[in-house]
Amino acid sequence: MRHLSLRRALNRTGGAALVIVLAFVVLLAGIVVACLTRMGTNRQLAHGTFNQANSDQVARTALAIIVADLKQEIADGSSTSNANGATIYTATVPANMVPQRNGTQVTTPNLVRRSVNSDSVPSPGVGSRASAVNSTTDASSNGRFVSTARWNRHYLLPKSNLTNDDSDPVASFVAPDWVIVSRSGPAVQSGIGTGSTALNNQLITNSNYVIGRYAYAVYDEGGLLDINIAGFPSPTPAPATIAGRKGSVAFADLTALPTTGSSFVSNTAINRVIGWRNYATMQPAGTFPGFTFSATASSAFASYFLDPARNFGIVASAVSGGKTDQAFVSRSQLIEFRADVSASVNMLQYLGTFSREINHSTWNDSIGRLAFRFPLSRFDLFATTPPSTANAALIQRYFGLVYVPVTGPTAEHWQYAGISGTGLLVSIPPVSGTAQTPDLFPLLQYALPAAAMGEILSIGASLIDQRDSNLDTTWIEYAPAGAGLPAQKAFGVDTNPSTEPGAPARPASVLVLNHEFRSVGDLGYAYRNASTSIDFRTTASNDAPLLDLFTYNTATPRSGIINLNTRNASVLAAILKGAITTDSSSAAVTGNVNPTTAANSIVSATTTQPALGRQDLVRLASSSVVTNSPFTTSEETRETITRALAEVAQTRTWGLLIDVIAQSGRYPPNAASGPNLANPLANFVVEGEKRYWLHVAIDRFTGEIIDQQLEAVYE
Amino acid sequence: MTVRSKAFTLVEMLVSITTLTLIVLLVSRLFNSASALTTSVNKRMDVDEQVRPFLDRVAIDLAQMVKRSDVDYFLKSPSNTQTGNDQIAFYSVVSGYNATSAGPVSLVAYRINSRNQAERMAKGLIWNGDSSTGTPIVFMPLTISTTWTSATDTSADIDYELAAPSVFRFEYYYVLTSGNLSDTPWDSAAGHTAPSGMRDVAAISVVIAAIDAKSRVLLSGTQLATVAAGMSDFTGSMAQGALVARWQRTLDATTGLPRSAITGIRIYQRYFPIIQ
Repeated sequence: MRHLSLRRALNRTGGAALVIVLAFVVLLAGIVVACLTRMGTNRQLAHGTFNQANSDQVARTALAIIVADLKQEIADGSSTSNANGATIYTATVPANMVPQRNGTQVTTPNLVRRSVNSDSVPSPGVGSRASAVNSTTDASSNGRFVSTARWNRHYLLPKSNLTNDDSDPVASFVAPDWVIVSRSGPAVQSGIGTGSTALNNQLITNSNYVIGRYAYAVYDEGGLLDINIAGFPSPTPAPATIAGRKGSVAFADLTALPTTGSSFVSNTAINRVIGWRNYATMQPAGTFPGFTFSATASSAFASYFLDPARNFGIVASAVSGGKTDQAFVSRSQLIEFRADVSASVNMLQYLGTFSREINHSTWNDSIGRLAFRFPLSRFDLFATTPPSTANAALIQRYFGLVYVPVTGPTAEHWQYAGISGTGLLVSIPPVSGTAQTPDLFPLLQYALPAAAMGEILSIGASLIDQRDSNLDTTWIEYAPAGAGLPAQKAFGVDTNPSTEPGAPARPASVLVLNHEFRSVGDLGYAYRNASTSIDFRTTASNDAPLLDLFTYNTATPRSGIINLNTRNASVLAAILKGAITTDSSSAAVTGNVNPTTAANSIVSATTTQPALGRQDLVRLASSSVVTNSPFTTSEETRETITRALAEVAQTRTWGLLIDVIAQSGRYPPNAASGPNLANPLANFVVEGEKRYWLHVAIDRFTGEIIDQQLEAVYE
Repeated sequence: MTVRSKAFTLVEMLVSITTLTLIVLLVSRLFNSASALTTSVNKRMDVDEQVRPFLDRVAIDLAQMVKRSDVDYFLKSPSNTQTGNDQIAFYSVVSGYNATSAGPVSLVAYRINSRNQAERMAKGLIWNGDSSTGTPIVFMPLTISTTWTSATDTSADIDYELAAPSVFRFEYYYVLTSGNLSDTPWDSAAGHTAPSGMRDVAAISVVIAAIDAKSRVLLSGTQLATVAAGMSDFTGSMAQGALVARWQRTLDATTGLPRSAITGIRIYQRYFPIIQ
């Protein structure tokens, strides 16, 4: 019995030791497991950060490739020349003036192209290198896909349902395909492959190993109204001619933009934008978003946007109550603003937040020949006569004219002596060399080489008559035709005919502005040889180059100028709406039907043959393009198109918004066997994702990026 | 019959006690080693867990930075040389704190507070002309320092949040588009004199020093501030990685403070691209 008790006692002691040892082991194991678990969690977090960085790299690489492809497209579609040390790319055919579009997207006018497999983008466009994996319909191995609503997060595509705020685009929009990126870059892939070159083989020597993918769509933001400038308040700045004479995209009438059914953007919505945007300049009454404007506020608005030296890329320096004017710093901000002011979401498809343009002519060789466009404000020197001493000096500098006061029976007039001479010139100096800053008459001669000296001077005199405040006809003396002959005279056209001997016959009725030029289109009011007016309304007009060589706003680069080759007709309609058709009566384009019809005609014409420059407005304003009232009533009403668009349109810059979604990840070892058996390329494992909207302005003639803004998109 | 009770001999006892002692010693050494290892790893992970989201937050804020020539930035520059811990403030399209409705733009600021901890402010800015309490984003000529003083000094602001309690030293410098490292956010060689939308800055390099909570309790606030003060500022003549190396040398040479605390200090550097 005692033996048994001792054995039991010994067993109990041994068991306790075992328990103690086991407890130590369990404790140790617990600590190690906890530590490993934490390390594992941290590793996953670090891996997540790493994948995000990877996807960011893929996205930025994608953007660089897309932009490089666009620049390559410019080079491939151009002949080259040299100007001031820079290569100039001139489109070989008009179709190459614009980025090539893949497919016809009548219902999605802003969409230029997207990444698509078997890319049929016309030459010289560069294909997207996309594989046959759609970003929407082909879900990844871990169930990731990009819905079409996400693709339209920017609302640049028309919505399928106009009555809600969802971003689902019209059914005709097909989501982009994925461009698969391997270690050797993006390339079209047809399958996972096998062995050492398979897309999922991590072997260090396998350059086909896939590290990510991206899909993209490119939109014509340059063809939209830059909401940082566009739109004016209600009540309209008085008098109505301030807005009606256009000259700035600020005077685009946004109530021409359709929203839902037969509805258009409301004045209430516009005022909410204007009050927020131009707050310090206008100092509106009320608080956000219910602003109201006094006459003083509207006047301040007009003065600000008619400043010919502002580039509108930066906001005004005005300060009011510790607040300043505002600008939309991103499209995301515009989208949120729209929601907060309860404006129609459908207006977003007409609005951009980024636009840049080099304010320089492109006609003929002017891109290298001239330093800048001739400022229309220089004609203001002739507002009153006799000119002040300072103005007289400036007039000779910019026009080569010397003032001659009334002498006996001879009325006041001008002598063409050139910018530094005193005697009458026998000819107009040619514009030679590069980066020239010619005075008016050499510039006119450069634009109209077939015109005789007298005709050129006559046009100049008529331009002065349009601007000056008096009613008397301006005339210019220039050198005699031969020895012993009297000086020759070139006459303009003003309300009162000239009584000078030799004054030519003139039209029975004349149109004289007697006010400042607001748009280069206003030059169309001037006459040549005191008989016919400058022609800005027929396709074959020889006067067309003038549209490209003068400017109201002199800033460069500048913002707010719209691409004349836009496919978004409503944008053009907003500019045409309210434009003065008849200066004497201030009659204007009213309603939404007429401007929209004309805008559709213009878009149709530029779709068939893109405009090369502002000079092409003569074609777009012609009877072969615009056939509806009130533009068909007279020469003056037809040139309403030219006057409204010439100052706010350009063709030189590709203003694009590149929407790219990039994903980092890999193809798993079993990618070829599922889950998508029909399309193994879809079996990508997504590990990180990044989306960017790149706003970029590319100069079509130099291939240079004028400016860009990268907007990271967080959804 | 005599029943003899079985007992361990002295030798058996000595052997068993010795063996047991050895086992206990081995297990305790193993335990100590494992404990030391896990403590070390845990301390590192403690810091990593704070620093990673902190730097990720900085990355998001900088990625969303408003880059325009007509807005102000509060940055280290020749007219704002920042000795010791740096401060930075800028506008960013990120969510921010605001008692009422706010727009998508916030004023973001980073600084090290008086308790040697990294703070971040994301002040949600109201829409312009809004009657709500607050201020909208302001454009030049109004500046950040005159509109929001707390973004540029050490004054209190309810919108500051503790971003990383472990981070006690915050320094940054610029990688210019020319490739040069600089403490000036513009390219003076190009004749520029202002950030102008950060046009000359390719990246901002942020260098921070962080200490885990267990090491931190071994140091007083004053001692930690002294350690921070010993970690030099970036100067324009420094090469890539020189600042981190200098900080590490400073730590290695630190005496008079608990070594276990100093070894708990870790230095991190990350580059944040500034893409236009």
